[in-house]
Amino acid sequence: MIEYYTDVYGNVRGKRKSRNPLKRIGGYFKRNWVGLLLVSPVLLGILFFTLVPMVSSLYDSFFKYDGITEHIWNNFANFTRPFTDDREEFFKAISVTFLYSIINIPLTMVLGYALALFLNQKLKGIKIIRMLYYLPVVIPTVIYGLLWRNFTNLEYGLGNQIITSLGLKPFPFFTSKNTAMATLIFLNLFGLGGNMVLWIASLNNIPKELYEAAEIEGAGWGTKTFRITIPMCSPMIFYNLIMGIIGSLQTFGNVFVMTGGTPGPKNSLLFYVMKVYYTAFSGSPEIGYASALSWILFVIIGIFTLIVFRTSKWVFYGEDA
Amino acid sequence: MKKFACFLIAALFALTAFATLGACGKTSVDAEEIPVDVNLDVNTSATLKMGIMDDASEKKTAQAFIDKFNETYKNIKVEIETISGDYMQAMLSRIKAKTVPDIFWVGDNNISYFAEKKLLLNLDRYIEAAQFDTSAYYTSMIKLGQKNQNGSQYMLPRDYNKVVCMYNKDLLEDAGVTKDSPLYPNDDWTYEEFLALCAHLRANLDSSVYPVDAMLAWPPVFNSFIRSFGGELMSIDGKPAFNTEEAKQGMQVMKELLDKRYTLNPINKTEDVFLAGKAAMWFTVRPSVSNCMAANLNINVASFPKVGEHAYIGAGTSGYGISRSTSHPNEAWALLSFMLSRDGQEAFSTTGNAVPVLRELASDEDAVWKTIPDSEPRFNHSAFVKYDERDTLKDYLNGVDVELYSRIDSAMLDLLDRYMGWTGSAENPDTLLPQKVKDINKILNSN
Repeated sequence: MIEYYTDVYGNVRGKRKSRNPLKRIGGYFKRNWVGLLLVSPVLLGILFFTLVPMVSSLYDSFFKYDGITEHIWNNFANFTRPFTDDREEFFKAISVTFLYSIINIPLTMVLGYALALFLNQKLKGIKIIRMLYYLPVVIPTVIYGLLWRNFTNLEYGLGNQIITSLGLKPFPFFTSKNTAMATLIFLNLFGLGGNMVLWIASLNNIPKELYEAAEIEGAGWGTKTFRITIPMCSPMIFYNLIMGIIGSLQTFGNVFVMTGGTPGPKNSLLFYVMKVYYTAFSGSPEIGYASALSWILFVIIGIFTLIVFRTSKWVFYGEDA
Repeated sequence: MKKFACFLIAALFALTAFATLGACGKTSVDAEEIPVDVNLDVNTSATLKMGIMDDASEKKTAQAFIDKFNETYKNIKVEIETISGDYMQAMLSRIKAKTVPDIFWVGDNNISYFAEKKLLLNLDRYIEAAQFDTSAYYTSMIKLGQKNQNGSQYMLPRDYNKVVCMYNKDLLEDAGVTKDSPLYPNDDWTYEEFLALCAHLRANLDSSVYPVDAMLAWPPVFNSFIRSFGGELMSIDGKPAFNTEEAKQGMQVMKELLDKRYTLNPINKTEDVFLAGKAAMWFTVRPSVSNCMAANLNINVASFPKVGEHAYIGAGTSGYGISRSTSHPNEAWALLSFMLSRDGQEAFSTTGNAVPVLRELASDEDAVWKTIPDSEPRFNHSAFVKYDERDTLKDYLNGVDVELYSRIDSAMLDLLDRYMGWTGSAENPDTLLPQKVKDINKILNSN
């Protein structure tokens, strides 16, 4: 069997393939050493900072392991526990995370679109307004969380000072199970700027001729939106949807800071990753169980991503795609 | 090519698995096996690593101990290793990486866990060999260094922290409570007198200022309230014991503080309201004094009021333990025992934030710690050491498997939350308590 390849001078060369796998690996490295050398920082980074922890956590997930003493083989107990002993808290975390995702993903996309439509006009000073809307996106999560945490403090926060100065009763924000989730979703809307920028970029890429042609044919606002704008922006919507699902299911940092590291009243903000965190990093850590929970989340995200990819026929990549 | 790619991926995974498994393994040194030598030659040379929290006052404290220690043991070099972030987690990472310091700071909450996990060296052999007299120290604090507060010694405490009632003299004066008023806080006051002062402050201070920050979610406070009425949260054999009239009485008294708006809801607390001048009194411990001085508050302290039949006062401590994986346990013991000597405790006292655990120094009228804060010569230091017979410890986890500590702790806070209505409406105790007993039994049976 002959393997053909192009050398550094562009000449096509052929070489008989060795049956010895070690020789073949050696040959592969010899032929591609420049490329491998260039990508080696990334490859090594992925290997040691992603693959090693992943394999390590998969290994830990089959053991009763606290991070200190020896691993004790636990069979599949860590994977069945969420559906037996820990069912109540596990499904609470799942329901909180899904509720947040179901509301947050479409809401941010629709409002991002509305905001983009508003800011996509040719008005004086529009760039400054766009920048102001985008500004919260560049604030680090921890700072953002701390700011809102202080703002929403029931007793001394600026939010309630404004509300009470209007003669209204203080709003409980994160201190009531009935308002905690709504508060979180509302505060997240201040990060709409990221979504808005993508919408504006997509809107500006739609050829004007399409709208002109539609107008000549007598198309109204609804037809233009659903027959031109949305389909032409569908690759961006698809991207946002995938990233939104992954991001929402992994919600942690902002909630952790805003609630001061607590799962909110009556576990109303017990997100899945927060549960993983509490399991792994409590006073009596359970690294094995936390690893199993992480792998369950990995599978859940994988399934949802796969479903979205498999049902992505609605995405319009252009005539030639 | 496909076969080759598969081979390469398999090789990568094998390498990863190898690296992962290679990272596992047990600590090679076991200090339990090193012979005890408590009469170390003063010329002994060694380098010890001392782990402390990454905090300016902790560094100052550690350095004070080390400087004084090095006056005797000149050739034992002690390197301070500050541990940032979550202390417990950072220690766990060090265990994995086999870089646990030889001697390290440890809070009373973690003793049983660290002892059970063989992270701390059992000090009994050293105490016996050195004929170390533990009776010279506050008994309650020594107990806190023992596994389950009654077993082997794993930590030696450095200070004596009991809950006191700190008060803001300016706010009291604003409400018309002066030193000669019968309402003024004092070391012998009853709970009824404390409530009368709260009622007066509620009526005479701005509505945004609370009479007291009672720290209801803090174990030294809530546990002492319940124990003072004869109740307990968990029995000595680790079973839920709060479904009794006595325990209910303790919880009810705390609930009333909240219902009457004498104290703020602990769930809403995001800052030290006392430091912000938003509370006139505060149930706290000695280390808070320096923060109050920094905030320029005009403060003084009184003993915790006499609650219920037993009038218990919550107490706690922190100290140092020796790593079981150290190669220098004898040198580490020399440092640890020095910290508890009169010289060590005096050096510690000069840092200003603590009451020494050595009784003779704590009760000495001329002791350095009583001159701090020196801006207030008539500061009531005695409140920090008075009534040690009324000390009560966070003991409700003693009968529980260490693996369940955090889950039981969390369940206790949930019980108090639902009883007092921190995050919603208060629930009916007759249905709540049996339900919580059931929940906790479920946790206990899950292990």
